[in-house]
Amino acid sequence: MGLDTMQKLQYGLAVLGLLISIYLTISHYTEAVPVYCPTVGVVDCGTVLSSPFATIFGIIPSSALGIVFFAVLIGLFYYKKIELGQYWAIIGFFTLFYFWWAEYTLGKICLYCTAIHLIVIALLIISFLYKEIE
Amino acid sequence: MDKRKIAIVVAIGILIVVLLVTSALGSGDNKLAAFDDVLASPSVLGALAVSNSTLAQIGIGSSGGSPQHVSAKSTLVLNGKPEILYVGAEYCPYCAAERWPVIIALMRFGTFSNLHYMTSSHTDVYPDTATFTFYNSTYQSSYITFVAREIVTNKFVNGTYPPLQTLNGTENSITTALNPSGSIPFIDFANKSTISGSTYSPQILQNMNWSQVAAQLAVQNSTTAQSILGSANLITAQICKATNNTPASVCSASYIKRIESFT
Repeated sequence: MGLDTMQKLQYGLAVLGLLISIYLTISHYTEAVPVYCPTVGVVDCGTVLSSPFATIFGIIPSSALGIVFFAVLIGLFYYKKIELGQYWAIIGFFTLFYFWWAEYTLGKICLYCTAIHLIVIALLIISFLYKEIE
Repeated sequence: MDKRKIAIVVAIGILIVVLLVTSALGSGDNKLAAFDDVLASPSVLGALAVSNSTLAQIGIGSSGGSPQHVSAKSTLVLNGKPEILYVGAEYCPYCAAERWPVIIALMRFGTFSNLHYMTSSHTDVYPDTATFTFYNSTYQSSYITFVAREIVTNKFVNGTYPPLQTLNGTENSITTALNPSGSIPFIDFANKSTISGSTYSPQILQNMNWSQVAAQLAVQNSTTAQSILGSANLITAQICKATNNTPASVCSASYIKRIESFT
């Protein structure tokens, strides 16, 4: 995989993560934008997104953290701040432990959250590969 | 990558996680209600399987329960075993308190599955008391049959709590005869004895989530442990009376026999 492909992949994943975060944040504030998610077995977006873990200090939706994370990452990619992007991805990876603990505590999984977790992990891996090849 | 920068980034990452966890576990009784009907975590349930040695040290603790002896001629039996009938409601803060020692006691005679978290009513006294619901849970035991009836939910809708479970004819007869005031929680130990109301105050559980209550059970001199475990021993003694002191591993304990003798 060349640098060019990796860059496109990074942008693509970050934009996807940003869009999902925006969608979850909007649906947090208005019922006019429902969260479409099956409730089957441990998959229950409703329980996860309405739990105490879904807001920071009861005010800011956790998905807003995602907006900040991906927006900053896209900015760092744009200005070719590769090393900073790597550090930012590491910080993002650490926050996943909190969300995994939350889902374990609730005994439920949110599909959108899982998608974002996988995107963050992928971005972290790509950032290391990118640095390696560069 | 610079190792010092990595260390700083890792430290920042850990700090963010700590802040997020603090935020989630922070104050706010209404946050507990978001856990209603969530499956109880294995770690919390594990803490309720209290060791015999701890229970022996607690004894009656600071339980204020006062079981009533029943002079019924026949033992209440279901499926060939003495029946322990619990009647409560999800909104009820006293039921919320009582479920903790009931579960701990019952775990000594059998196994629960599918226990879910619940909180008592947000608009009643001792609001949002962290507890469990027996609704949809399963209990298996070789010694007793546990029947739980949560009669209404904890959601106040249009001036009332919606009904959840109903008592059958036998259960209605029992509660009419042995609990005419209709107070809840009400527990009938196979028509040998009954407990009406909670055996300790729900005040003790205020501002604590399930993990915090579970953690307090390990602190023997804590008010929580003395109240809940003391009440669990009281309830265990009543169950032992119902089962003619079976199993011996539970009912032959000197502290259980002592409690049986004065209750």
